[in-house]
Amino acid sequence: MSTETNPYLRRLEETSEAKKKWAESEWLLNFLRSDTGQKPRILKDEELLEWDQTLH
Amino acid sequence: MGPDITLTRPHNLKLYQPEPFMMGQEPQQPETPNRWFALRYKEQVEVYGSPFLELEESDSSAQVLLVSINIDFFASVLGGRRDLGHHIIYFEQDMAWYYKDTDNIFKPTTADKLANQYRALLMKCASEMPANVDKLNLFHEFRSDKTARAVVNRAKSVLAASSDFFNATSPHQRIRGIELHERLARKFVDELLSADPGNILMLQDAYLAFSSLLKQRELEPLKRSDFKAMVVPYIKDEFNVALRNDLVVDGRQGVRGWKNVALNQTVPS
Repeated sequence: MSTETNPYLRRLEETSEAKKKWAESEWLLNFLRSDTGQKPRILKDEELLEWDQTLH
Repeated sequence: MGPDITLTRPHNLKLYQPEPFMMGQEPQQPETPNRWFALRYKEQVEVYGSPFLELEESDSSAQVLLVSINIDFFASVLGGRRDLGHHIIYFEQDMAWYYKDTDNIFKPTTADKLANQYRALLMKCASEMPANVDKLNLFHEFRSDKTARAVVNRAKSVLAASSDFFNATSPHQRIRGIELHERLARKFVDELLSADPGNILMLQDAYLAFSSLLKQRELEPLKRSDFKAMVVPYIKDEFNVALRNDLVVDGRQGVRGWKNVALNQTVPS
């Protein structure tokens, strides 16, 4: 079953893409933040997908 | 490979050219610095052109050497990736840099931090390049303090924001700016005050209520004169009443305040 027809696989793919984007975003923003030593924020899957939605 | 090559073989000098898109083809891992940056900063390439001038050897080594850097492109790169929701500006009025954080609030940053990000991007690119890409300039020359300073300096004009960027009515909000007080003052008038014929709202009461809102939001206290200057026009607009100095309250004369306006007891969120 392809990701187009399987909602579980589609969600997995979307979450994985959003994770990559979030990691890239945090990497870049951390250079600009006052506290550059802070640990990168880790979001739950729902939060990640919600954040990704705001980018479109 | 010496600098004379650029003179004797100018046809080997290449600017970034977008790859023709083939249907059904997976996007390939970028194999040159130009493609690496173009993949991430497409809009900036469209406006400012090729990130680097590359020299490509046409012999079997297929070596790629970076001859020159496009300062304008990298200045615009510091403006951030819109596909990630990033936005960095130079606020000329305050001569200060701001970046939009993930909470959508613009926060101050510095020229040094921007230079750090610029150097990190070049380093990341260098580390992901195949062996045929000469990394000397990418690693050393273009990451020098001199070039980084030139990029950040150019970015001041490329990323300059107008003086109304953080206005109280603009969609952009920054941390620790007078606009936060202005926004709150507007909210205070809109949501905490109401028309009440015959009632008197004393300036002192309004100021105390506003001060407690500031405290609640961990904002800097505001002088009473500044508060007055801020809310008088808002109250005039909203309720069509002016601040008076001749009101009588509980037998006291010469009280300052507004007639026909009342302070609600609920606090806006």
